[in-house]
Amino acid sequence: MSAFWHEWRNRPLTGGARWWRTTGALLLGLAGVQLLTGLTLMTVYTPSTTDAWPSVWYIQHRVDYGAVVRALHYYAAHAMIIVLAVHLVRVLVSGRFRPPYHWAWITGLLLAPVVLMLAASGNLLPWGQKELGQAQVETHIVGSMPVLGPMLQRLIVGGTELGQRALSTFFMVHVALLPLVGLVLGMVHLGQISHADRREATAAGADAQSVAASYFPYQSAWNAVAFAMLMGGLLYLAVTRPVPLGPPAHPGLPNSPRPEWYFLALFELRRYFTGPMEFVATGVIPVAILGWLILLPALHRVMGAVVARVLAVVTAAVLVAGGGLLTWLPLQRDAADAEHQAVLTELERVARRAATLAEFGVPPAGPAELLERDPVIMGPILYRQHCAACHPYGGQWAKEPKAADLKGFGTEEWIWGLVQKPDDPRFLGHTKHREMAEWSQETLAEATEDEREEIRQAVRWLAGHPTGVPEEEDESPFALGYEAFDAWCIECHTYEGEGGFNVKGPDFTGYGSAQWIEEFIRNPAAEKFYGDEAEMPAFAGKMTDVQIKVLARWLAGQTDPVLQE
Amino acid sequence: MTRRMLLALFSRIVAAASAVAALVPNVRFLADPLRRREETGPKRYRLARLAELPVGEPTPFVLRGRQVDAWKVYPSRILGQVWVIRDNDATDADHARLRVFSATCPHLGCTVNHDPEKRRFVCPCHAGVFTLDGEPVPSKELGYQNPVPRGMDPLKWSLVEDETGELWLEVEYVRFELGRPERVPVA
Ligand code: FES
Repeated sequence: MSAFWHEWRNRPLTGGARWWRTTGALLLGLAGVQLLTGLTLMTVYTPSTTDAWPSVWYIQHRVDYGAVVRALHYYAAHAMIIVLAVHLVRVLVSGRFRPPYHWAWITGLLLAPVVLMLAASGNLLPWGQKELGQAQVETHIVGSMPVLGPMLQRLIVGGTELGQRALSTFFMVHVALLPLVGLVLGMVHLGQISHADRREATAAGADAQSVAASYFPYQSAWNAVAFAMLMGGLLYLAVTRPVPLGPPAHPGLPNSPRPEWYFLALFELRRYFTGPMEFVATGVIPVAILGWLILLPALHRVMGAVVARVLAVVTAAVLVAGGGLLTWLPLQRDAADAEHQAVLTELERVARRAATLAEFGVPPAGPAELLERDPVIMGPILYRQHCAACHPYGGQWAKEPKAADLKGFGTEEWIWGLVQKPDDPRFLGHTKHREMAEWSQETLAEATEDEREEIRQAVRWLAGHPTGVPEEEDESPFALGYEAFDAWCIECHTYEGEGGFNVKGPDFTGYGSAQWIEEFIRNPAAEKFYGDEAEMPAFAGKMTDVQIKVLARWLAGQTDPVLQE
Repeated sequence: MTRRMLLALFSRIVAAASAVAALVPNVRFLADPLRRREETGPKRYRLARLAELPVGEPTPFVLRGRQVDAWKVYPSRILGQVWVIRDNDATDADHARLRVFSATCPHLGCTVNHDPEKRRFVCPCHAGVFTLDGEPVPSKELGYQNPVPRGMDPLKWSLVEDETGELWLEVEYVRFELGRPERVPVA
């Protein structure tokens, strides 16, 4: 080891120290940062579908410097890909792939996919909605490779569906397999360079000047400065820009997966090769590029230095320009894609809420359970799935409204609106219930100022989800409201077992409370609601108990999650 | 000299045999996913009363059920989504016409949405587009390559009477291999 080190640092530095020669050292430094931060993160991170997201949340929000270490690991990973690209272009343009550097060139090229796979496998580890969607697409791409694809996909996924075994496999690949492969390839790469440098120096003859300069400390000084600057940048980013944590994976959430930026060019290529040709974009082209690069040293031998050098420069230009363009195009398109942006906004909303909920602890059943029981997250999602076919919400979501707009249902404003204009499409206009409209036209329209005020009082009382009957002498607003109800509403509406002599409207006991709404959703045709007159179907059995409770709480304006009974 | 060669050969063989012995169980372990068969086959789901389904308008349904993930069992998990289109307002089993499609995009498995303005099914991932019959929209019409390898997967459905005599739509949910022109159920 120390012999290796000695040889490495004392190798001749032909051509002298240069800034652009620091890229290799930067990569080595970044690999060190990843090893260090990775090991640190592993002391908390837990590769389980139910614990992964919460453990990352815990790192982010609870562990001292957790957010910084996680961000460092994240930014250094991206930096590694960028520096790797620069390194590759630099070697291409400077012609250092030619013999005697050709073996080092090949191990270097093999390191590129290792770095990319490290990024892709690490990406899934938080087990978030976005990352799971990405992994789904990526593993299907593997599966669509001819011949070995389906088998490989099964091995990676650990079955047919991404679940616990996939996460464990990805974890092993990310923290052990790829780092080991990278370490071995990296050592070989360095050894080959050291060896080639000596041969190069010998071949160059006894130019006293260049042989006298050894890698250490001449180039090393530049390397150290470059790495210090890079580290400074990374630390600055890590401290000022924490990496956001998306929502945990939940099959009920929307998704619009896009690969991370380093795969966007391939993603874009797939647009031009579809159907059975898709493999050309995801397999043939990347392998062909790699193959072409590996062949460059041979071309050098066959066609001579000048031709090879020109080809290399052209290759670098094509890769940079093509890669840039193919990355830019989908970014452009997505920025203009309203639906994609809407999904991103929704996921951000869920992520923020999930992080808040996690403050109170995540149940052992995992974060999906946390989302499932939360009115704020699932309320609107369930509403759109189950209610919005008929009920609009704030004028949105229902294409063909057939029933009342439930935004603000049961609030004073909503009830008073209904009382004044029951026939408005916002209220009962779309339904066949006409009794309230008749009452409004006959009774409310004729009411005096004082009487209107009394009705208003009943509305206010009703908006408080009233229960119980006041004492005789009681003069509280509640009692006055009850009296107003008794005077104006009791003909058609029941309350605490009384009333509803005339037509039968919904019961007022606890009206608009989560409990009331829950019962209503379960069965609107229950005696206390619409009876035979109900137009809305019963949802008991169609939605789970928890779903109905969650939806009811959300409609009642409550935010507390439904806890396990 | 022969003794030396023999010993060398011997040690090589013994070392190789030990290596293979160590390797075999590991290879078998790693290949486990290839041999494991999850409980699959069509599962029946009761979706809605026929009378409740809007006519002509694609309606989404979420299918929930028991899911086993290695050693974890989830009693009620979202397993898939389907789109149902009721074609006429007939309320009897003989005349009612329906179309039921899995909402899983046959390309790479994203969930297909319905675009009510264009009256098309649209996949958010790679902009795959289908007609309301589930057929891929020709690339010419789109102005770009439609990435989907086949149409949306139709699912078998039936109308089943409950105790009160009401008709319910039931669907047999199957997942198909993605990214292929032909429909192969996931085994
Ligand atoms: S997954 Fe639907 S178009 Fe690609």
